[in-house]
Amino acid sequence: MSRNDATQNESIGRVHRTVALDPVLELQDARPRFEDGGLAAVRYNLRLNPGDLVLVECPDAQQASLFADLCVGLLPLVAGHVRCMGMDWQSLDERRRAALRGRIGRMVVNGGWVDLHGTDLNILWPHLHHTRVPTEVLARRAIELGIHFGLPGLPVSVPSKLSALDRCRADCVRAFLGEPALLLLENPLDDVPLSLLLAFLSSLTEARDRGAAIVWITRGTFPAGVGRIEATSRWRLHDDGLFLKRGA
Amino acid sequence: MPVSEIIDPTSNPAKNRKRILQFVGPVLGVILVIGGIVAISLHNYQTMRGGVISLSRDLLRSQQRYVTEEVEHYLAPASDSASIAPDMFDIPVDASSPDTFMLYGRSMLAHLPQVDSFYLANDKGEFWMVIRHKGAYDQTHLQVENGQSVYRHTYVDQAGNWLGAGADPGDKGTFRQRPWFAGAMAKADHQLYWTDPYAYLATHQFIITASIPFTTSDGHRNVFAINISLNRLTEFLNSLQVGKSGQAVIVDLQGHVIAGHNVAALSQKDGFDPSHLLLDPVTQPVFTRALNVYRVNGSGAGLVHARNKNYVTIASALPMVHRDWVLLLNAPENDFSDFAQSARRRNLGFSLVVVALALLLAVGVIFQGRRVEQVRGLLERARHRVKSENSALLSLARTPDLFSAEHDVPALTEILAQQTLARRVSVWRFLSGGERLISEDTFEAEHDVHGAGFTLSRAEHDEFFSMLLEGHEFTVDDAGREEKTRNFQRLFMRPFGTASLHAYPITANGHIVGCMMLEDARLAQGAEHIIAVVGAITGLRFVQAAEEEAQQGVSLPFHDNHKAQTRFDEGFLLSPEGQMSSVPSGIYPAVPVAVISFAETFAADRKAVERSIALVSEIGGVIQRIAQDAGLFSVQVVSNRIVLIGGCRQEVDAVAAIRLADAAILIREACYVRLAQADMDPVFRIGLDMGPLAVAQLGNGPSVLNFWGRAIVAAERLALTAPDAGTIQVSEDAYTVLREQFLFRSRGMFFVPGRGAVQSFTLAGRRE
Repeated sequence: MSRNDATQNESIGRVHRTVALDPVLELQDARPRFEDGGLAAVRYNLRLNPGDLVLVECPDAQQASLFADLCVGLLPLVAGHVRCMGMDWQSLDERRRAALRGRIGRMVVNGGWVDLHGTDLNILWPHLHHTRVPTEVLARRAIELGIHFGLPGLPVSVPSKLSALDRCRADCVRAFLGEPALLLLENPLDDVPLSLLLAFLSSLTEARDRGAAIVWITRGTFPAGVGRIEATSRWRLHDDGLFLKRGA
Repeated sequence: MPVSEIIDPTSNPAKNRKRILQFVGPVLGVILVIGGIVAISLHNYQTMRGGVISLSRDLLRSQQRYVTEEVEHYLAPASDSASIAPDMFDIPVDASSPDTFMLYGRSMLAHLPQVDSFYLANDKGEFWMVIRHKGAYDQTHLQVENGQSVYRHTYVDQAGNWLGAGADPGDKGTFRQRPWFAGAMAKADHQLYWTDPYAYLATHQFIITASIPFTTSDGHRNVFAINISLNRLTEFLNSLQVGKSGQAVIVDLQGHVIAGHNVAALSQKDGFDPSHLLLDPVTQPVFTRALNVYRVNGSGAGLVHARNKNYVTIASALPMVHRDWVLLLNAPENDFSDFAQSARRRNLGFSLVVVALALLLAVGVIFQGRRVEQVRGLLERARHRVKSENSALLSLARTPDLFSAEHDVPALTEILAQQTLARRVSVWRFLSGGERLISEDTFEAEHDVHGAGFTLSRAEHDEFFSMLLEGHEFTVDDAGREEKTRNFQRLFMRPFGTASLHAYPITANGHIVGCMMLEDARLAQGAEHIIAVVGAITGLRFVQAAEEEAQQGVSLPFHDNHKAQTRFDEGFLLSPEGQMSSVPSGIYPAVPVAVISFAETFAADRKAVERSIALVSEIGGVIQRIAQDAGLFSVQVVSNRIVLIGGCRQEVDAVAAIRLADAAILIREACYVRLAQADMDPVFRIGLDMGPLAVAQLGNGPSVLNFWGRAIVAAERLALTAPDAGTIQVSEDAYTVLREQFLFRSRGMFFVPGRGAVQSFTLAGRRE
């Protein structure tokens, strides 16, 4: 089936509104290799069920990024397991690992933009690679999300030509496009307008309702407009590991 | 798994490999069995063929020895007689000698059928002969009578009794030129001389003569000759059984046929010349090739392929008879390998049976494998279904206010639709003691849409109501064909295009309080427990709703005593009334439009809301004044948006656009100031575009001037997506007109449906 004659399936994921019983992400005594640096080589335990939102405070951006890498199976383990949607990253071959990562939406600290291509291609790329959804359908969905996050359309300029705020908006579009089952958000909203924040929170809520699990890694503070976020649990990631915050 | 994924990470390739192996394994097994059988059969065939050929050669060799012996025996009388003759006629041949010769000849002719005749001659020109004649013997003597040579025939019986006489004219000394005499005379005494075969035309016999010279005591040389008929040798060779259809032939090295296959028939023909009877490469390719092989390799067995068949041949010299004579035997390989071929056919048959059994077994294994896979799939699906049902129940349990009739719970119908794969699920409640049925929630799975409020009355659907109120669950494959559901189908189902209907009554406190309808449900069977759970919850909700309604009492009739006259305000802060005569209805290609969008803020504090109303009123006044000062075409308020139109002309009106941009900047500044004074964030955004608009006067008394079109939609979108609060986002078209008068900051290029990749700008201010 080619991309063009593929049936348009915009409602992918919408039928899965009920809560699944399997965790979306599970870190079970996962200990990364010490020499990979940046992330403490201790045991990490975390479990996210569908619809869960976990806030992780981490002042170190590099550490936050490595922790997200650990969640998506990019860091080799010396012990324990990291399972995503019931599948252990270590037991999967490279093709399946890559395909599974296609189900994950991620916002990275440095943006992860490739300036050789337009922002539009940067946004659509993962889904063009992993799915057969027609390009027009993807573009339409991306435009809808773009407008939702405050972009006039789908940005076609290279990412470096966009303002930091518009790049942040494009980042949101890329993360939420394709209704991912797991969202890994590294410091997603630092000093952004309230309108974007509200749009982001509404998308977040919609994703949770859909059954997606969310890991929101913050520097420790939230914009005032966010108010009290109803998170499933709050954690703290420091040099000595990942700990549940007291009272969370 | 989302169906659009190219690689399904949940699909384990090892399982796929196992599945393939389940199919390929038996097929490979069958191929191996077939290969094994073919290899074994081939090996057997080769072994058997080798054995058969070896056996055939042994057989032919044995036959060759037998034939050689037979030929020797056949020709032995010639050499034996020849060796006796010199002893018999050692004394000079005179008048008494012929009697001895005749007696000897008759005796030999009587006992040795292959002997044709005897000759006795000498260098004096005398000649005697004994030959068979009509059951008796012809004793011939060449005499000279009256100067003429005459063959005097005396016919006698075996005992020598005279039976008759006769004479033939003869040429004196003619026999001297005959090969048997001349050849023998050329040899030393007692050395046997064999002539070449020749035809004896009188008797159609194919003759070979052995002659031996000897010298009598008077010093004359004599020749004793014995003629052997080769016809009998041919008959013998023809009668020889070589395999089933093998043949034997005696030839000389030049290929002349001495005796054997086909010679007898040829000798009967007129003009038959044995000296020209050669092996024919066309009709006798096997013998010809066998002889050629013999010439090169000498005696031995061989294998010749001719006439699309393999022939086993054997060639051997007959030196004791004639040094140039060669005995050739051939027989088709089939004659000996028939049993092998029949055994091969049998083996092939058995092999086919084994292959068929193996195939059957393989098909059985594949079939069984598929069955196992199907069962596994069924179990997997059942497991998935159980998990899905459990998660559905869990999500239902997590639903807040599940039993509160005051709150809608759309999850109830959604779960039913999901678990039964129904296209539409509706929950109905009986009202007025079962006289009316009202849909509390209708969920369309395809469109993900909920609805409610559809009402059915018993008067129109009496039988349908009766069935439901009697508490029957029922399923109708085609509701349009069933009498009881036909009305319901026409009214409710046909517009949506569904056919089958599953209806489940909802019972609470022993009464039917409502029902659930599943339309085109593909998995209704098996989801009964989920339907029952949802039915029970819905029943409790209905009971609670009924109780609450009962507590509220009977609602009083509604009388509206303050009905106001409908207003048809156009919402213009700056009305285009004065210019209406110059703006006829129509399409205007380039109208400058700005939209100011205020964020809808809501405050729970009543005083704060009242303050904001005052602020909004003030801002409205400011905007109106700015618009009037700028000379804009119109300013229209629609809810929390204000639509400003710079001018409305058929040609591109750059001045109107500049006017509008100026006004937008002034409005922005005024709003900033007013909102700051009120200690509020700038909650507005402005979008500015220049594009086509449709203008029309709608209604009559009062009529309303309405604008719609791409420019307003684009300006609204620009306002909505302005990069920050309080900013003015300008489209590329507007920028092109305004860039010389104003300062802009590019936001980048964006793909917009219907317009392609366009640039977007932020209006910073007026150029100095």
